[in-house]
Amino acid sequence: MDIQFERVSYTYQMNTPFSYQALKDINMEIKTGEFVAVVGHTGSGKSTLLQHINGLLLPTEGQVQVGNFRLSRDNKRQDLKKLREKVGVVFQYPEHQLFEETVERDISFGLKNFQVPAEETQARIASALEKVHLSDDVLQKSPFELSGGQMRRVAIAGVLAMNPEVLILDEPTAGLDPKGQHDIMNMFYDLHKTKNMTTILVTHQMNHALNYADHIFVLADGRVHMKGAPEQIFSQVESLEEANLDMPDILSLMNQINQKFGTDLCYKRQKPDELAKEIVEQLRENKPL
Amino acid sequence: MMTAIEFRDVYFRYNEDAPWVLKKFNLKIEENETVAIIGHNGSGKSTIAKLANGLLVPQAGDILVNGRKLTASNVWEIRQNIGMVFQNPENQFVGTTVRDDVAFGLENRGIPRKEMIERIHTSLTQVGMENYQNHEPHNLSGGQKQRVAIASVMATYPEILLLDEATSMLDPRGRKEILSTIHDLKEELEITMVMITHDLHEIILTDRVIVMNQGQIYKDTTVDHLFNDYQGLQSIGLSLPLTVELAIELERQYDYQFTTYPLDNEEFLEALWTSNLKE
Amino acid sequence: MKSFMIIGQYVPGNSLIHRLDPRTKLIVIFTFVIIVFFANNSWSYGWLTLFALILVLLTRLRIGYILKGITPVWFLIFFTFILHLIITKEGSVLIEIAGFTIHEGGVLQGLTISLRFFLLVLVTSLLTLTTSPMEITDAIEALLGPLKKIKVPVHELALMMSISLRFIPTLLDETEKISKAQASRGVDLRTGSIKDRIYAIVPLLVPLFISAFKRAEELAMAMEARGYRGSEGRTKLRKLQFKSLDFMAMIIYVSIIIIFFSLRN
Repeated sequence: MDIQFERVSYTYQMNTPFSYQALKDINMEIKTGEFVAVVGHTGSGKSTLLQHINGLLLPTEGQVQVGNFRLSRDNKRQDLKKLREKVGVVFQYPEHQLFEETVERDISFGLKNFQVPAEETQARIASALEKVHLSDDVLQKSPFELSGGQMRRVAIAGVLAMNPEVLILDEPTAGLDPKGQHDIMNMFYDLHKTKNMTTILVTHQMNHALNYADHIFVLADGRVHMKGAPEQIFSQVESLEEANLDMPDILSLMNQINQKFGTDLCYKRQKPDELAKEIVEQLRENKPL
Repeated sequence: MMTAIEFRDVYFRYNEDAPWVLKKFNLKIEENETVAIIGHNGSGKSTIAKLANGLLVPQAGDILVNGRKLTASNVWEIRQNIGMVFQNPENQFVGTTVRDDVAFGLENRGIPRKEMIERIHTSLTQVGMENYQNHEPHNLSGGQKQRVAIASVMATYPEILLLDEATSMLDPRGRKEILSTIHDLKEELEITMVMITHDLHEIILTDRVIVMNQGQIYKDTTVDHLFNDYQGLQSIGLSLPLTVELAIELERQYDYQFTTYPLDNEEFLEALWTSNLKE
Repeated sequence: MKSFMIIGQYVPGNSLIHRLDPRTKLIVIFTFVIIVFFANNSWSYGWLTLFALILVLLTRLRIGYILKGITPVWFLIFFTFILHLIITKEGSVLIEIAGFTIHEGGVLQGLTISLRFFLLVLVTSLLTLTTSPMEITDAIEALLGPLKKIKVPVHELALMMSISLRFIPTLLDETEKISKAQASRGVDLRTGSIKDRIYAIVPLLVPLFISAFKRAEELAMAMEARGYRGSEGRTKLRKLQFKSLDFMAMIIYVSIIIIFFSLRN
């Protein structure tokens, strides 16, 4: 499902002294099967934007096209439910949405709501559990007995069980330790690769945007501040600073090495061993006599 | 030198059916030391802070603060000297505005109003929040709320500051704000500081690093020596900073020698510069 | 979610009314509510209406916004009017439609009662529009202070109130977030039979309760760590102080009341 924003604006609490325009004239396009990162400082409009993709918010101006669904301010609710089955959203701290007595029932909650035939349910649950790397002995446990990391995986499984075509991830790694972050991001990346799932990652972790995204949209103050491939985005240091964003660790280190040693390191998704090799080779070449 | 916090053969678990979180745990933290306690989620590191100021009570063993054994009768008095910043910025903000929140701890201690106002001003200035006195918590970012939490604690002039994963729920900006605040505090004041964290970047600020694993001390070392056993750290689920990973590769492939592993970009450049000259 | 919270919501400002001590405002409004019931002729009603309108102007808030804020009450005011119109059978008959008669007394009664109602709602909403909830709490604590002598836990009640106020936005955000998360999983709170809709609330309420309890637990721990042990030996940062503005306001208000009583029959 292609996604297209056409001149979308959104204002909270219209016509009150508290009214606040969170999105201003947004134009963007996301193609089927892409992995896109939406980055921006807290309050830049990231969360508001993502809620337009499954119709949780309808634009106050302009329109959003998601596959065959066209969303504008006067949409009917019925269509939205069909859209939501196709667009899965993993919210920040998704474990907060768990409520059922068992893991199994919680995962099947979405299936029930979207009237997935009962004979399909078991297979869907099993495959969702496998995708999040949990074993099926958690199925009969209460989700609240599990560890924080496991709870998050159960919540994600509940979204994946609906077999969405588009997956929206809102800060999926918040509050996890570094290893947990790494595991979860790799899990989503595998899903994206193997199922060709359109993935939209909303994050303020530049490292993740750099590592996983094909395309990055930088939001600042409710507008699209920059868009392009990661390499392109992160080469514009000043523009990033305007949006109050940092460089990914590896790029800031490479830039500093280049500055100090006059080298010409260039980011090509190197692993640490490859980067070490390049550093040494360039230093040896450049070495003044 | 006095010992600020001491754990003697402490056993702790959350309930009788649960496994031990700490088992025959011993630890000594000296006065004015800055110590990081690291470990993955569930390694028992957070429990240590809550035991140290009596919010949790061990099933066996003794906890001593400034040489005095913590008991039910002196816990309130001892707690006056310990400031604690928790993980969730939202759930420790008691006041309806920034200044009310800083005032809360002072009001509890019966500080006269005039002195309170001075202390609120000073401590908010310390964390760079003096212009937010009348702001309400829902208009502040996570990092700002956490800075207010630090100010609230500092206003009570504690001898010991416990930071219990104070940065783990913040965005990168917020994290930076907090780290620079802590850095400044450390420069200005003599205070015992214990930082509990799973972020290896934070330990740069500390003198001593304690690595926790399964309720035990896995390693008690200094920042400089921490990564000498990087395989061990990885095996208990900790990840390495990029600069350390690169340094390891440089050693492995090209015989570079690092006396200590570089923890940030500056140290890495410095080390690369020196070794580049030597070649 | 946030949009229907604007009814009487505090709008920060710096008008005369904003600057009054909350105790002054509370006393004025409380007595005004009683005095409205003493009005008994068009002069006294007119005087009170004039007073209320001047208050409205003094807040420097948009009149449209204030009137919109009391929207839910408009219906009640109108209903009261109709009720009295039909029930009261005094005075000469004005209109007679299909056996229903509307008397002069009914029109008069309907008008005065709904005007009374309107004044009450209007003036009370001015209090919440110009006074932060925390100031109201402080004022209540101060005015109830004497009750401490008869062992009413005034301090604890005030603290409870201020903590609830502090967490209202947090819990509203949380409600919104969870309902959006469940809506994304196919929950529909707006269509379906009543039974369906009641069932649809469970996935919202359970997570909300769990999170509220967790917050309460963490907050209690944080308060304990910061040395909170009840009201004993506590000092207070917040201090209310009557200013010359308040004395002037009180003098004017008392004269308005005196004039009011002289206007009555």
